[in-house]
Amino acid sequence: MSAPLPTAVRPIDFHELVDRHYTALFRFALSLAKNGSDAADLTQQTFYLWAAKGHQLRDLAKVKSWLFTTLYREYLSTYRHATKFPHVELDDVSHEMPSVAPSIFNEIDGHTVVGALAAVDEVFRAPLSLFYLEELSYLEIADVLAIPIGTVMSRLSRGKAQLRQLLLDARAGADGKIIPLRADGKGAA
Amino acid sequence: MSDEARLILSAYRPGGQDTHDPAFAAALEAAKKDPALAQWFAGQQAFDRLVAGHLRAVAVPADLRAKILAGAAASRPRQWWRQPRWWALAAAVLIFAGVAGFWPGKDAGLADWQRRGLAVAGEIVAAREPFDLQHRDAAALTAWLRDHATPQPVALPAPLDGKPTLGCKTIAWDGHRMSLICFDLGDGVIVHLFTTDRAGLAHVPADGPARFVRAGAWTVAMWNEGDKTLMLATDQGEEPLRRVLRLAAASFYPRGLLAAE
Repeated sequence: MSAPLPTAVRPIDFHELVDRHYTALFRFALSLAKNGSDAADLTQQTFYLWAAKGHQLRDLAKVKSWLFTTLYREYLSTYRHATKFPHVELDDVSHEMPSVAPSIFNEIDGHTVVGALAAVDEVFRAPLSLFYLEELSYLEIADVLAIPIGTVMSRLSRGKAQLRQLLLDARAGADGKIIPLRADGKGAA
Repeated sequence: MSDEARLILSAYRPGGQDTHDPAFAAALEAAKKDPALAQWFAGQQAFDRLVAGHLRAVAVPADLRAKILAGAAASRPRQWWRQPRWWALAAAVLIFAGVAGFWPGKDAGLADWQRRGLAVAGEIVAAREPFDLQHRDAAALTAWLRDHATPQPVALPAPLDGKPTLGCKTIAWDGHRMSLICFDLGDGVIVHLFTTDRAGLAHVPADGPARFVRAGAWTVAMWNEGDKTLMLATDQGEEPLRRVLRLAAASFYPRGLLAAE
């Protein structure tokens, strides 16, 4: 009996590819677009582009990175006209974790957590979402977002600090920036 | 080391995927020796697990997978020569032609409006031209066509009624208009239904059973229904068309659309 071909040389079954990646891609799209309808469109468009152009990819081991990269570029080119170059003073953003017991966050529901993630500044949100999806290593995140490795680490650190602060504010009922995010609605619940 | 270790450990995924990544080894080792760093890392990992868990729990629209597969089916370049189904179909057509003495007509049998319609369908399949409206429900497409005063079938052939659609388009040519609705029959089979007004056409198919014509990669069936002329086309051989029309003849349409087989 012959051994199965390694992923890198095995022809890709499109259905298998969709099944393996579409949920994570949708969740990444949702964190970017903050809107279930746009997130679904972005996810569909990504696979549409794969169906049309994916055969050009030489290294099949990079399919996952290709999909996330394509979705991110589609988002930048299609959905981000209004905030194409957001001005973020990185030095003004504290990357120190607010000093609170981790258990304090356990009381916060999932919609609020995901809503808080969507409220994080975009420059941090994209790497943070990819990190929390746990699909890609920091090296792959750097590749997808086309930023240096050190920048990925820095943005993850600062993004997490901002996320924690948003959640603390939400818990205290003080932050109107967080809109609980649902995938099935038009954005806000 | 502590600040640098914190920065590095910020990228350490909570699910343990990075356990064997040597880039984290030194920072993890430092955390074992530094109680303050260890406490910080444990707190961060707990927070990361919580957020990751909530993000993984976000529901995905129930119809998203089907939409992805349908949309991609319309965009994928068709490598028909690599599909065993095509070879089987080709063999079936040859056998059928030999037994029944049937052979589809030639491209020359197509009128200008049909060539124009097929050209547009080809552009859509190649993702070089968009639909006017994408929707999985034929009723939404026919409503849109009605609102845009585009000819549409009096009623859909029964085998297509209820089948998922990909989209529709209004096609104009030489002062006329026709509609195109693309149906997804499953297993990658897409059929394109064109409808135009019979009046004013230079070449109208003869009344009676559907006439089959082969035009390049396309197989086409055309017939009249009331004041409309319809054309059903696919680039996947004759069998899907015959299947639709055979069932149509048995259900919706009062007269047989297929010649006696």
